[in-house]
Amino acid sequence: MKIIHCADLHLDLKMLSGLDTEKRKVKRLQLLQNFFNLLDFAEKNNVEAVLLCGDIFDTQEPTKKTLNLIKNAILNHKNIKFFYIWGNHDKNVVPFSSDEMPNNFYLFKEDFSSIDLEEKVTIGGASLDRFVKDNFYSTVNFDKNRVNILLLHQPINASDQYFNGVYAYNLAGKNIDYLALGHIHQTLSGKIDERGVWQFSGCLEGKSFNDAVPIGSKKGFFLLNVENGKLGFQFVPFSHYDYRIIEIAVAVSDDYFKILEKIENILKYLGETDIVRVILKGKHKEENVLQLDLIYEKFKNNFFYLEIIDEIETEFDFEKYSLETFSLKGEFLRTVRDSNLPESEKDKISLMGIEALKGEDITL
Amino acid sequence: MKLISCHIDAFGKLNNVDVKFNENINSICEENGYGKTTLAMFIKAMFFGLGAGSRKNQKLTDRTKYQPLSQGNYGGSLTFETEKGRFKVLRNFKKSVTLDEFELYNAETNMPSKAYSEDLGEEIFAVGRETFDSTIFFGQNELAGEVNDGIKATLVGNISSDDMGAYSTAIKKLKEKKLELNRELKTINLEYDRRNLKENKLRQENLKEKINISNDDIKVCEENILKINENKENLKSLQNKLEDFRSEKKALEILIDDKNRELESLRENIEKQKLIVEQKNYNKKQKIQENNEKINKNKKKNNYFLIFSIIMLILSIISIGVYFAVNNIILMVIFAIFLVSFGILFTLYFVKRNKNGTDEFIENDNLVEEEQLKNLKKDEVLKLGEIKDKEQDLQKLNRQFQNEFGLTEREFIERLEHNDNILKRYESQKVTSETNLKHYQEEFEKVESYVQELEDKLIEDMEKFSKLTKNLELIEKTEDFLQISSENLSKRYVEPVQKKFDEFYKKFFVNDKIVFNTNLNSLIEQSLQEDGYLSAGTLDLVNICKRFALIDLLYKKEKPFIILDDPFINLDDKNLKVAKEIVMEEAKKYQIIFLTCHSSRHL
Repeated sequence: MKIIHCADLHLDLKMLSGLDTEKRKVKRLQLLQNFFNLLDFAEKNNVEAVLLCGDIFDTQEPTKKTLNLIKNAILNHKNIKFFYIWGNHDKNVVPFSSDEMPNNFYLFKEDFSSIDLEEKVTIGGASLDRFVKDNFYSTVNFDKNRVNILLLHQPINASDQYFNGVYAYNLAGKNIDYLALGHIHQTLSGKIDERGVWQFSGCLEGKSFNDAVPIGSKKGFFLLNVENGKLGFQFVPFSHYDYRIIEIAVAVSDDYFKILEKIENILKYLGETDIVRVILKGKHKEENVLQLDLIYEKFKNNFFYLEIIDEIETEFDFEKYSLETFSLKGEFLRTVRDSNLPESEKDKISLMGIEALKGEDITL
Repeated sequence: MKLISCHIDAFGKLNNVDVKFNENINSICEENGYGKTTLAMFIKAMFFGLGAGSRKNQKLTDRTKYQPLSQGNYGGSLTFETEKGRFKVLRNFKKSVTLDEFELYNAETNMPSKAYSEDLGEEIFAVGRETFDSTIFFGQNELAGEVNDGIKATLVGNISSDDMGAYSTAIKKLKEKKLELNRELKTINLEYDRRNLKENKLRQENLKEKINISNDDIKVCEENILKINENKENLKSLQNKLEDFRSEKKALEILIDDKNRELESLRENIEKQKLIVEQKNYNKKQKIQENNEKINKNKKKNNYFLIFSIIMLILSIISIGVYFAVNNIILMVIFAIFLVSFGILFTLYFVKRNKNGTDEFIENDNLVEEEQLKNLKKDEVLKLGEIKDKEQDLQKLNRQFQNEFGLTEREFIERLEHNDNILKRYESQKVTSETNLKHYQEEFEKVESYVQELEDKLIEDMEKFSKLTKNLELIEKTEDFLQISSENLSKRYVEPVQKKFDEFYKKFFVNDKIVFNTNLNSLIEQSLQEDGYLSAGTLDLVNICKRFALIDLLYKKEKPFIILDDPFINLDDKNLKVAKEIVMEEAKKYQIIFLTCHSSRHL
């Protein structure tokens, strides 16, 4: 029996920083499309069940259009069983009203419940609140002779601003083979006890640069396989658009062309489905003109989105300026340097001031 | 340095003029129109040339303004002495700077000299034309003199005037950027975005409410339709019964009608029969009467037959007797004849008599009809009974219906009709609600995606806004830092100017304190600050002191000459006295060319 473990689809995603209105729309549609693609994958691979481990919607008020699309997708895949729990973003959001709940859709509400499938597989779950009830652990009850999968949307062995978390030691000895988790957007795993493992599938597709993945990697889901009472799993990379954060070290001696070359050398591995943030770090000399806007213009059309963040510290020749007792530039740079401003601001103000003092247009 | 002499070929209104200068004070008092300012301008032009001048402000350039009125060469010569020696500079001004002629001679050897180039003003004084104007050239009504970046840079030393000028350029550049960002900022109206979003969310909520209401309406309609349909089903089965009842009733009614018709025809028959009977009775009476008469007649006739037959019978008996007596055959024949006659006559009698018996039959026939009438009447009674029975059956049926349905047939039909009407009403309501729902849902979808667009726009605008305001903040901070730096730097030139100025000023004005700001262009008289102004005369004195302070500080290379082109016109006697004292004091250090048109101001 094949089972898909996915979570955090964040359909109808609200915050899409940086992207313009048109691209937000495209990205939102892609989140939906990803789910449909997942269902196609499930069909082709004879997947029997899809575990939706919370935050399927990004909001408690998803659009009717999205709800209808999800509803119809589930209704159109009658041979696949959908197991659904709520996350912190979509508490109480269900694509179906209680009277139209189809046979292939199972909602695990606040309390633990479970369903027996063929091949001695049992799937249980609960939509836990921020504070996990004391009696929750005692209600988790699986037959030791079956392959048992538990769905939860919680951090594990830790708490965060949304949840107080579940603790593996409390689930030890409960005959859990696989704890399918949602909430953390990265793939993470660990052991519950001798028998079981816990695992975050991560989000199906990143929703911000916080979900950035290294070049060559993708977000996706886990494909579980139960055969002869044994459970195995493998990660399936599946995201369409990927957030990438590229840090480029700039040396003091690097001029515009050198930096361009360095950026080019990395960006050549990325393409139009990448949402790219290039962070330039290091130091450069005041007289080296970086022209980041030119670099941006050169590459911007190669990607779905590109931003270049300049964290390069400008190295001003304070010694030279200090020799010029009456130099306005020197006086200015010294005043900025000796101020209480954060370093990043100092750098920006210094650069801007020098640009202005040189009579150049302010680039910011 | 000292001015020795000058010869003006032609410059403005001056033509072929020679002037010799004293070492200290050269006070020239000439009436208006003499050309004192022209002389001052000539001296300046000898050192700095006549610039191309800018036509941008559409003012007359010096080159045009001092174009000689006479035919002589535009220019002249000036002899002066510097550390390097005594020199004579010759300048001939043409239409443009590039065509101007310049010559420098060593005044002692009269040989051309290359000690200075045509920029000899800058080379001797180490200041530009503007600084010269702002310091040692005291023009009429131009005492204030702008303290430009060049002066500031020279004052602080070790700093190029470019660097000093950079401040105003930098501020200009930053302001330009600020303007650009502010323009961009103006295109963002978060308030409008939020209001628009709020309004549309409200619209969305309203539509949601309407959709819910429509859904509820549809639900109610459906429930009602269901109920009515259930009711209809019940009514339908009842209706079947009703149909049965109706057909039974109809059959009964038809039967009753038939019976009534039969009764009617029966009654007609009875009437007919009655008439027949009456007619027959009448006929009978007639016939009886006629018969009686006939019978009486026939009786008489019959009696004749009877008598004759009896006679014949007697005669036959007599003949037979005689026959037996006489035994004569003839008698036998006679006997037979008499017997036959008897037979015939008796038969006739009998027939006649039977004829009277037919009258009796007529009488009997009338009885049958009466009997029939009687029977008909019996039938009528029977029919009436039957009709009554059927009517009772009908009533019974109606009663049964009412018992069974709880209402009369009329009421039942009314209810059926009512049911149908309500059903139609709910169905139409449902259709309306469904149409509304569809409309609201379409509208909702539109608003929903519009709200999403607005949310996106708000986020985008907020991001833009925050980026722009952050950048504006950064620019403002940069401006502040530049200003602070410039002020810090200014302090370094303001302080010596202030000190030097105080030295002069305090000699004459013990009580007042004049303070310079960092631009040196403005003056603030602290004690008078609240009054908001300095009198023109005091201001002139302050400016004269500031100029002498600046001259002391700026001209370190060569002590310059100072040209004062009637600068004391605003001064009252008291201030004029002071001003003269200042000039006399300065004349100890500098060569003074003092031009005035009034003897009272003559030194």
